[in-house]
This record gives sequence, C-alpha cells and structure tokens, in this order.
Amino acid sequence: MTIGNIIILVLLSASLSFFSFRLLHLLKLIALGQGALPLDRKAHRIKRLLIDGFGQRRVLKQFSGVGHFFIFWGFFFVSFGTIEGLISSIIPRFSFSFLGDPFYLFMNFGQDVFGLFVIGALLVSLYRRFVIRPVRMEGAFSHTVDALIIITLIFVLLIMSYGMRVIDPKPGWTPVADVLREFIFHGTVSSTSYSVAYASFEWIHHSVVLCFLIYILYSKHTHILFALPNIFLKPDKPLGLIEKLDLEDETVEHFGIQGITDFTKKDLLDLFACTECGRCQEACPAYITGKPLSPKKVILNLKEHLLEAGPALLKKSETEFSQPLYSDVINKDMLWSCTTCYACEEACPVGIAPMKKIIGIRQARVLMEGDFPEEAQRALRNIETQSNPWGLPQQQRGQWAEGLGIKTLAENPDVEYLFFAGCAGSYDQRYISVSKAIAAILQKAGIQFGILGNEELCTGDSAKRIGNDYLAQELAVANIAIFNRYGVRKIITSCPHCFNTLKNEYPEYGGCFEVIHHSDLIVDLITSGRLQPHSRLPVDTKKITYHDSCYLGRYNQIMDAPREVIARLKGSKLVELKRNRENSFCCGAGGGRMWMEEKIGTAINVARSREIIDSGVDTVATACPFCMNMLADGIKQEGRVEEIKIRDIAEIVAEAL
Amino acid sequence: MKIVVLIKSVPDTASIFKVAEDNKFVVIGNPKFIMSPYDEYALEEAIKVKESVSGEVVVVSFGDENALEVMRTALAVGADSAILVENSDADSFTGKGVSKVLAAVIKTLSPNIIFAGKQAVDDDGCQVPERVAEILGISHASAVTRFELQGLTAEADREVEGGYCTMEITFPALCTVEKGINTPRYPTLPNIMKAKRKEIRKMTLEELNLSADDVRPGLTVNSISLPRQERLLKKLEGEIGAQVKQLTSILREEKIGL
Repeated sequence: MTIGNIIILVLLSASLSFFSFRLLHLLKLIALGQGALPLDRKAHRIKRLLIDGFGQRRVLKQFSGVGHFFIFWGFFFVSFGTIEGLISSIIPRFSFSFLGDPFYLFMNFGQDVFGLFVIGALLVSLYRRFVIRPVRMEGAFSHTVDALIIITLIFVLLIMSYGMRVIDPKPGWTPVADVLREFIFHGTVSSTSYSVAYASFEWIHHSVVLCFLIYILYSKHTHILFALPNIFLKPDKPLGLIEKLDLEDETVEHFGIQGITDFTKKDLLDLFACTECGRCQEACPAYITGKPLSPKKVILNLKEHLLEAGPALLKKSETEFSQPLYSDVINKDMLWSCTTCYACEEACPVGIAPMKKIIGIRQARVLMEGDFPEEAQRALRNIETQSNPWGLPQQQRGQWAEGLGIKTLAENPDVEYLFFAGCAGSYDQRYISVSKAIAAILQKAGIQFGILGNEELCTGDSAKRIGNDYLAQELAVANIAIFNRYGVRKIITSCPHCFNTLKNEYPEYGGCFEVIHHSDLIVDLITSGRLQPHSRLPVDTKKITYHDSCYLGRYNQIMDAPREVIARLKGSKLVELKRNRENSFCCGAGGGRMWMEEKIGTAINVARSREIIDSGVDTVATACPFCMNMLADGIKQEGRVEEIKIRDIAEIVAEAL
Repeated sequence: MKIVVLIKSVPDTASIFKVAEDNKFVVIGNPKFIMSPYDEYALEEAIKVKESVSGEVVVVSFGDENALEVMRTALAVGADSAILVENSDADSFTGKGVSKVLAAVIKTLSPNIIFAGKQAVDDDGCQVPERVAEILGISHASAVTRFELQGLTAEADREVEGGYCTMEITFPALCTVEKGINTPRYPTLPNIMKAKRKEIRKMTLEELNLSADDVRPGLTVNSISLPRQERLLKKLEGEIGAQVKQLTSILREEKIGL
C-alpha cells in the first residue's frame, strides 16, 4: 500500500462515517412517525417500483423528465465505475471484471455512453433552471445554490472520469472515450507519459465523490436515497380512501395531526423523498389561483420543521407532545384552501402525499379544537340535524321523485339496484333534473331499482374531508344499517363524491356494495343494447366538451365512460379542454370547499370556466353536482350564460331517448 | 362564579309540521330536536364568562325526554352539569308554568348570573326568562348584544331603535341574549365523549314542590292556523296597452301596492 492508497482509505472512511452518521439521524427522525411502514402486497409494490421508479413513468409525464431519466440511469452506471475506481485506489488493480465479461463490459459501455447523456442533461437542466426558470422550481435562494452545487459536482465528476478513461482505456466498447482519445491524441496514449494527469484526474474525481457523500444528505438531494423506497412504500389503498380514525380507542389522547410526530413513518419519509421539483404546485388549483397553499410548500415547511425540532424530539420521551404544526408551520389559509382534488399526489413522481397530510391536520383542528371556517361549521350542523349540507328538511328528501312512479325500498325492497340520489340530487333544484334524467333512463332500460326517499342520509364526504371524522363515521354506520335492512347489494350514484365514499370508504365499516356511477351504467346499458339513444345531440349543441370531476377521474379512473356516452350520440364532436382526464382542473368544490367562501385570489371555478370559454364550446358536459354548480356560477360570472350550457351526461342521454 | 343557562329543546326550523286535528296544536312528523338557536348564544356567553374567571355553568331545561339529546349537546359544548325537569306533558305548559318550574330549580342553585336566549324559536313566547327573573326578584336585561364582566358587576349593551343602550348590571341578574353577541363554538370530540358519560340530573315537579295548580296555564289556545297561502295565476293576453290596463285594474281590485 502506498501513501496515496492510505490517504484515500482514510478520507473515504471519514466521508462514509459522516454519511452514515447523517443517514442514521434522518432515519431516526423518520422513525419518530407512527405505525409501521406498509409492506403488504409486495409483488404489486415491486411492480410499481419498477415502473414508476426505475422506469420513471411519472417523471416522464413531462418532457423535462427525459433529462432526469438519463441522469437517473447514468447515475447507476457511473456509480458502478465510481465504486470500482475508489476501491482500485485503495487496492491497486482492483476491478469488477470478476462479475463476468458480458456484464462488466456492458457496465463499462453504459458508463461511457450514459456519462455523455448525463452531461447533456445537466447542461439542459442548468439552462432550464437559470434561463427558462419554471415557476414550479422557485424557492429559497439556498435551494438554487443547492442545485448549482450538485450539478457542478456531478459535472466535474464526469469530466474527470472521462479524462481517466481517455488515458487509461477500460475494456469493452467505450465509444465516447475512444472518440475523445482519437481527437486529442490521434490514437493510443501512453499512459505512463500522462501518469501525472491521470493522478490529478483521479484525485479530483475522488475528492468530488467524497464531498458528494457528505453533502448529499444535507441537501434536497436526499431524494437520491429516499425516492425509490418512498415509491415502494406508497400506501396501496384506494386513492379515495381517507382511513377512518379509531375514535373508540380510549388510550388515544388526541385525534388527527397536531404535532409532526403524529404523522406516520411513511409521511415523514415523504419529506426526504421530495426533490422540490414543484410538479404538485404546478397542478394545484389553489396555488394557481393565488391562494397561499402550495403542496410543495406544505412538504418543505414540514421538512424544515422536522429537521429543526428533530434533535429535541429525539431526546424527549415518547409521551411528550411535539410542537403544534398549526399556524406556524401550516397556517389557516393553507389548510383550508385545499379542494382535495388529488392533483398534487397524481403529479408527484415519487409518491408523496401532501393532501392527506392536510386532511390529518384538519382533523385535529375540527375534532380537538372545534376550530374551522364558520361556513363549514354551518354545513356540518345542517348535516347533523337534517343530514344534508343545506339544512333542508330531511322529510322532503324523497320529494324529487314524487309522481315519477319510483318506489322506495320501504315500498318494494325486491329490486336489483338502489339509486342513491345524494344530497344534491335530492335538494338542488338544478341537479334534481339530473336525478330525474337518470330515473328516466333506468325506467326506459327496464332496470329494477328503488330509492331510499326520506330514509337516505348524506354519505359524509364533505364531513370527512373537512375533518369531522366523527360525523362521517356516524353517517356511514347509519347509512349502512339502512342498506343492510333492505338487503341492498348494488348502488347507483350520480354524485362522484357519494360514489367515492360508498365505494372506497364504506368497506371500512363492513359495508361492501357494488357501487356504480351513472356514467358507467349508461355505457353498459347502451353497449348491451338495453338503451338505444336514437336521436342526435340537441340541435343547438355543435361543440361539446367534458369536464372531468376529480372524484370520478383522478380518484376512481372513470374517464372514458362519460366521454363514450357523448361519443355514442350522433353528431357529437367532443372537444377536449386543455387540462383533461387525470390532469383535469378542479371546479373548486371538493374537500368541503363547496360550503366555504373563496376570498383569496381568483375563484377556482372562474379559472376553470375561462378555460371552458376559451375552448369555444357551446355545451359543457359534467357528471358531478358540485362541478355543475361551480361551473354554472363561473360561467355566469364571466357573463356567458347565453352562450354556454351545462348539462349532465345523463340529461343529454335522456333527451336523446 | 356560578352561571345558569336556560335552554329549550325545539324542533329544528326545517321541520315540516301541520296543524293538529283539534286546531290547537301542531303535529311534527319525525322531528329533529335542536337547542333553540338563541340559547346557543346564551350558552356560549356563559362558557366565555366561565373561561375568563373560572366558575361553573349549569344548564337547566324543562321538557320531555326529547330534551335529553339537546342537554347532552350543551354538555359537549362546555356546560359542567345539566338539570332537566322532565315532564311528558311539557308542551301544554305556558310561559307562566314553565317560568315557575325553572325559578324553582334556580332557587336551589343560587347562581350569580342566568343567561337565556331572548326567545325560543318554536312558540316565540318571549316570556319565560323575564318571568323567572321577576319570580326570583332579580334584575334582568333583555336581548343583550354585548356582555362584559367587570369585577362584581357587568356591562351590557342592548340594541334599541337606532342605537345602543349600555347598562351596568349588578348580580345576581338574568340576561337574555340576542343573535350576534358571539359565535357559538363547535363541540370538540373529547368533549362530546365526556358529555356522553356525564349524568343529566332529572327532577320532577313534585321534587320542586310544585302542584298542578301552581303551573296551571293562565290562558288557553282557542285555535291555531297556518298563514294564508294562495297563489293566483293569470295570464294576460292581447296588445301590450290592453295588458297594462288589465294589470292595473287587477292590482287595484286586489288592493296590491295601495
């Protein structure tokens, strides 16, 4: 062993110790979270890791993701060479060639080629960050410095390793190094005459690697380590499920998220998996329309808080509370601006869940403090007394169906389907016509169905997402008892919020039913020939678009059915909005926002309405009462009531019968 | 500081009711009971006072067993204890009888302040709290919009035509409160759970030494009726001038706008 070997060994050990020390600290912070890390359904998790992680599926949804793809894979090949290089500096002439020629040669080839791709991608990323400057990447100055440091380090690292390979060729086909060698030296290089150059490259290369090791876990680049585990550990539950709190547990001192340690371990892992790419922010309707909420900021604030409070928390005994997050870390307007549209979680390439964290904090505000917007309180009180957010008489819930020849299950329980009209479908004058249209379609197709009439209760969606799990649970239990009394098995809903709650949340209470949204049902009826819409779209409908409901599309992947319903009608030409399907833009009413005033920034429904107006359509089809209501308001505010009609897909079909 | 709050369980304002066959009462189908909204303000004010000086809040109600749920809510919101004078025939009592019952309970509690809603939203009698104060021989302020404790007295505002009247109140006293005095709080889950375990003390008229004579109504209801709701629909036709003429003559005949 030479002095050089020993120095490298000492430096490497020091660097690795630093790295391990920091890693252990971060892992301890993550371990402050509740519960165990989810490891169920491993095969499915591995598949997701391969597709979303190694395949970079979600990263590649944006064109800039191509650059990341190369950096990601380049990192793997380059690391192979880096490790080999480091070891060979300690143990001379070490190589990974013992792994077998085909593999070893392939890895050498990969390093050589991907190195070039990475350099290209780095240059593009520099250009993006400092010249194009996408809004989503904005942040503290230190974050930009962070990015610059890391890009420079990788850049230097790659140049040095090319330098080394040019002087001392590696076995296998290494086209980039070969071309460089040819270009600089016009052929072979005598490695002995360039030993000083080689040594310099080697030392710079190794210094960079060692700095990188120390630096990485103090920067936002913790994602290099935590993103893949985070993708693997992403909860494998229906997207639309907000898991019920165990309110019966008397040992629990508080419900919802008050302090950082109330989050689950996976929630805390999220914080270190974040790279601050800002795709969530770019998709967030609240952020886009000028509210103080950004899902990225939620994650960053929580991360900063965890890092700050962490050392003290690690010393404290478990029984002690961590500091409250509300107001300092996540303030009131951030908390209540969320429409739970799920766009942030859909956009995140690494499986981070900002929205569910917001709901957790809401739960603590509502259940523990009774502190939430007054208009939302009114809605919940109304649900408590009359089981609908408007506080309209429970006794008139079934009135919409009078005179239509529809029987309640009390009158005739021997039917195949329960048509669950929902609060809007029962009370909202505009949406009652949708309920009637669905009833007409069902009757025309000869479907045996009944309604609950005055016995029907709110499903609890708004209560749940405002944070009142207690009320949501009461409603779920009560509704399920009624369903079971009549032996209900299949439920048709018109409201995607009812649909989501019944389908994804009621199983937690033992209520397992086949829940069908009317868009799916109509497609089935047309396909099976039981329904034959013979006529065209209404004559005054020339250009029609469909606005995706978040709870139907993103949450439950029902995006084709509503479009197909329209496509089945003669003369229909569906125009897609700029943001559609899983990238659709919220109407602004989810998460209980329907019942609260929107005082900050542009109204979300107006923003979406403008997009609809810009598309030049004369009709916008919806499949959700909230969307219909919000868009009607938005279009009215923009003064386009005369030009643009809003119709539910059921109304369009009912008219064509 | 001992504070009593008088609360009444009333059918939710969204309930649908019809006049009973004997025309002397209403029948409500499947009613949901709520705390009379003005009583919510009274309760909130009482809890706020309690929180500022420490003390206890006792809610007192007279009613049938339907009142229990509302008393439970009052406990969840923050009352310390609850007393229900239970009587299955409570609906037949008038302000006179109810106030005697409540006064009898309050005598056993000797509170410093009594809060009550300015009226109950079911029969809108607007009598009971003031009658209670008279029976107890204590001062009362009605429809208060601001209440501020100042040592052993309190300052209160009540809205009068075109302005405010600010009063100083010496205890013991009774205040009925008006909407807008505060924002009633939303009960928290731990308090809801605690309220479930709290006992609601039940009392009977006998325990209060009240005979049937004592609480006999001083008035009887002859009949009740719904407001007249007739809608006329008439489509005017012909030339616009003729239509206007027809319209003005109809308006004159129906004495609309005169």
